[in-house]
Amino acid sequence: MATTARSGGNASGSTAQRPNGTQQNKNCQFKLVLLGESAVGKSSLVLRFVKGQFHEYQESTIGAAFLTQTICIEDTVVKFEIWDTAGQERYHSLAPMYYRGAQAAIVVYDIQNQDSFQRAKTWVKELHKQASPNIVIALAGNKADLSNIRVVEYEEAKQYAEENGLLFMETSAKTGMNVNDIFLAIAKKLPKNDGAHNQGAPAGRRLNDNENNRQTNNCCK
Amino acid sequence: MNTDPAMTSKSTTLSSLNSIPTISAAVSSSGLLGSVASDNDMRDGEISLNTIEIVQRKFKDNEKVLSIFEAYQIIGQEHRSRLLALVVSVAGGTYAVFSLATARLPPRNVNDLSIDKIFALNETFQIGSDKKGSISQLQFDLKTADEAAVKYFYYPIISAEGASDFETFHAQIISAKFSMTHSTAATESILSYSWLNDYRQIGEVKQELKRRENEYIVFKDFIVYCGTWNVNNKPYSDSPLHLWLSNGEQPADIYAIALQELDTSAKAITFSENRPDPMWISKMLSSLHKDGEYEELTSVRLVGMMLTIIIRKQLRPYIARCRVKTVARGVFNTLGNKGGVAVSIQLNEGNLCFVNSHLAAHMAFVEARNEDYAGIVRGLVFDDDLKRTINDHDHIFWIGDLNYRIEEPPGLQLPCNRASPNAYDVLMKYDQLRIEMGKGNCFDGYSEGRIKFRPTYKYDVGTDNFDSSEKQRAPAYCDRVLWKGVRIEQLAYNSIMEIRQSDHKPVYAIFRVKIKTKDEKRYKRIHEEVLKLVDKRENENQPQISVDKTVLDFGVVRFNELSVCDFTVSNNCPMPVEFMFKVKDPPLNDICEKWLQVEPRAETLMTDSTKRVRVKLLADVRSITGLLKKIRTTNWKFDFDILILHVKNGPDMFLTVTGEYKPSCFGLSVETLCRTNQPLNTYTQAQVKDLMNDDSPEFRVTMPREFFFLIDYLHKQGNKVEGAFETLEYKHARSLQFNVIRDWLDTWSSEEFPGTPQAAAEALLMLLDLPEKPLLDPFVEDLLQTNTAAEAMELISLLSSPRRNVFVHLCMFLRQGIERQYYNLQHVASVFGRILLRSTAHAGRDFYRETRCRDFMHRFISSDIGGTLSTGIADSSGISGVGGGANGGSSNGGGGGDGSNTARINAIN
Ligand SMILES: Nc1nc2c(ncn2[C@@H]2O[C@H](COP(=O)(O)OP(=O)(O)O)[C@@H](O)[C@H]2O)c(=O)[nH]1
Ligand SMILES: [Mg+2]
Repeated sequence: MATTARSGGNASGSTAQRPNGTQQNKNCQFKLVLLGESAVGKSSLVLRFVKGQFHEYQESTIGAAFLTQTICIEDTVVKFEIWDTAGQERYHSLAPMYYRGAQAAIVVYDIQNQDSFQRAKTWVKELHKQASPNIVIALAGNKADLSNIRVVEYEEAKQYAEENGLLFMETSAKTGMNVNDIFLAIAKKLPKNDGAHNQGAPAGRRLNDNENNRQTNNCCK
Repeated sequence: MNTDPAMTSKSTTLSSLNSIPTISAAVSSSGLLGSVASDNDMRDGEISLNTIEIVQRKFKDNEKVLSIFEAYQIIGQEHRSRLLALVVSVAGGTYAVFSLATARLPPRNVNDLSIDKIFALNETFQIGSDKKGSISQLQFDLKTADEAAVKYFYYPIISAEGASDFETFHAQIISAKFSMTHSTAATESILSYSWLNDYRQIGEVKQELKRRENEYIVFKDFIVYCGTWNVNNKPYSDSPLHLWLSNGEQPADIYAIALQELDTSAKAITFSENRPDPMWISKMLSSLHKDGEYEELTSVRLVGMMLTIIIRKQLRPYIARCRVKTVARGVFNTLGNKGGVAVSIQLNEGNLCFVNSHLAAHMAFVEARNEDYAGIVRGLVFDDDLKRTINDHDHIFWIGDLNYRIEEPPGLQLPCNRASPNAYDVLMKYDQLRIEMGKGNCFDGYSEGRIKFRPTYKYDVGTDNFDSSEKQRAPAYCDRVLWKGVRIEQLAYNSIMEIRQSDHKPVYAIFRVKIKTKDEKRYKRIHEEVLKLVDKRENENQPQISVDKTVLDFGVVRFNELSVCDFTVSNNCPMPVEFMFKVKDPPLNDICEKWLQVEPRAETLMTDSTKRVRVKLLADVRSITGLLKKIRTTNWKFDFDILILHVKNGPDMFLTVTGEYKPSCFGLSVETLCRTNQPLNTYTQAQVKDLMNDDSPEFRVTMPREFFFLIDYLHKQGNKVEGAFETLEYKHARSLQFNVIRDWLDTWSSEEFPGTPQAAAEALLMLLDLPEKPLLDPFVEDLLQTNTAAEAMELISLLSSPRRNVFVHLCMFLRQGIERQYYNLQHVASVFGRILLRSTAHAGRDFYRETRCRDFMHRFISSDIGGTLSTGIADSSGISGVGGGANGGSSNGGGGGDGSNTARINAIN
């Protein structure tokens, strides 16, 4: 008796179309984890992305910490919960606790360190084997500002990334080059609607505050 | 008021109410704060604000923080700071107490504050403070119908600048509540609490966006066209509805068309007819302003009342919410022949409510009409996210047959004359609705335009003549359009004489409404700013702890010796922090390895406090197997463990437990022991790791010297060993005395055995039981399938030579002891069966399996199989090799022991 929902007419689907609308935006939260050998610049990338800063002397991470950063792409608000983990080999066995349940990972290497590139490949392999199957992985060749003393060639890494279905960019936490872009590229690639076409996928958690879920579909006609 | 316990318990304060600053005084003094707060560009920190000014920044310009009070809640074991703020909405005319969580006390800026709870000072609000007993002295609770009672505590001393003491704060609340309940003849309808919805049930982002609304909200004009007509139970007909519905220069954006007495048949009433009438609706749609393209948004009907909302087609995407609701006020308030139907919509950012009501009829029933009005206001709650009432809307249009009559003044001539507009004003003096509104008995806060049309009731159908029947009903303005809310301007208000189908004339009113609308560009920018701010707040307010070390070095760790290492966790952040050790993945499923103990495993730390965490390391019979396995299999640098110190809602810290394990024979496989050429105490952890991973078939001795020493010692004890091997419990292993035996074995000591025969028997069991794999590995399961000793012997001969030799010698040794009646055959078979044939698959006890193990051992140790044993030993020459190996290895003494050991083995042969 309260809601006389008469259907018919040109009742629209579940979301009203807003011609000028940033109004009807979706909210998604994603867990993103950074992996890679120690000192390749994982913490620096997070610091650059979240706070826009860079420290020549970046304290080494002994643990795992997260920062949140929200970006808007088109009509979607994407909130990243970014986990920066310690890269030392001795902590390797703990890594699954952090990449498990992550919807995205950035595997970082240092373009002037061949070992770190090899290590990155191992991480990618491990993620493919053990992380959730739809995880979006990006490969970041960091310290691109030092490209004059590089040892890992751009093309080599690019080709590896293509073969393994990874996003790839060379980044510099120092200059900020490609830092926002790599996160943005990930956000674009992540599945945003918790619709039926990606069941089982670690789709972004829809934020539960009713920030934007004023129902429009209960309109009567 | 009498039901308010606070009122009775705090009567002293009430009586002294006059002595405290009144609320109105506080409002005016807070004008100062308002001006500071409204200056949004002035960022926090540039000027130092006192606490009340910071709190004010959490609110909008027309919401004033009157006073604040510092309290705390106890949640679990934590004390959580709360700032309680008494806030008044100038627009709503209502007060509320907000409970704000604060990241630090006093808060440094508005970012430290988040709204935790809201208590509207409505009629259900209660503040209770029993002043009895010492503990409850500094506590009170707040409660409303929406919020369950919340207990607050407070300190006798105020730290926040500008905060009130409890007496003052309490009195202000009581006085605020009092002022509302007594301001307007107790009619709830004028008081709006809708402003509180901006702070309720919404995330931080939304709250912040609301707060900065004035930066991106613009007002857009919309034309709202309201029509009402009592159709007198007449069926749909060809009346020229366009005369009624297509007025105005501009086409309206929204039509709200109200009909009454659509079908008042008994059937319709009893069955509460609620299907909108499509005939009427299509007639309406075809009678609207010619310049607009329209569609029906919704219709709602309750028996005779129908309200149809029609909008311009292009508006459809901007309608974010649309709800309908009906309230019946007919007989017994259930039948729907009287009452109201309403529609609530959100257009852009504005909330509009349209009500069509048909109130009680007849000249005398003024009070019934007032009651109907109040009943509709009370009963009309939309089923939306905030359970909006009529008053929770920005723009309200109340239209319908309100049925108020004109009190017939003696001598006044009716009907009046169309030509003299002033005559209408005279009539209005006797209009019951205006009179009742003037007294505050109904429609509080509503406005109505000036009436310049003839009474709309009651006409002879088909004419413009007032009722000529016997009843001669006095003409009246039954049909009205009222409005309430902000930014509404009436453009027209009239009736249509030319529609003569009913005994009522239709009435319409046109409004220009300025509706809150987002400037999308500015909104986008501010939205992004807000998201950044909220991120920043979240990141900066993350709980943090520090530890005095991240490496816990235990130094030299020895078998069966407890070591302890402490570290300190400190909370230097401005809020209480919960820390705990994280449970690690399977198979561990615990916060630490078996050889570690952590105390405490979780704790809450208040600001500026520390906690010592104790980590104990003990590699004993329970854990040595796992520890040695970890040493054997760790490829990288070995750590005893890495603890994950987790801060709730914050980071994890890795604490590495390091040290050097000093090897012992316990837990090592017989193969590993046969690869040693020196006592174990001379090996390093790394060397033992290599030995454990060495899988060459070459051994330095045929059986472990440590095994041999124990067997030899036990053998020599004669009847002193009586009763040994009865159980699998290592009673002595827990005592320090046991470590002397450990050292005796790990140094290949030539001294006398330093313990009792029972201790030696236990040490033997441990030596055989602690290795990762049972002695008869890898044939345990196959051996359990065998039925005869001969059959089993074939498998035994396939064991590695150290295993085979140890097994055969153990059996011979045991058999002899049994023959001499030192041990009980059943016990021995049972104990050694469980050890030598231990299952590697499952840890729990399996009694059926244990029986099979015992039977197997029984068969081997039984006296009549000596021949089988000796013939089964393919490598019998190795036996003497043991003696030799031992001799060579312990060249620095123990000759006597060696000699007798060799003799002993030969004797066994
Ligand atoms: N030149 C240069 N140095 C960088 C860059 N990123 C990080 N570093 C430096 O590399 C070191 C290690 O960085 P850090 O973020 O701690 O690496 P992590 O161990 O992977 O977290 C620090 O001294 C940084 O200042 C970069 O893009 N360019
Ligand atoms: Mg780091």
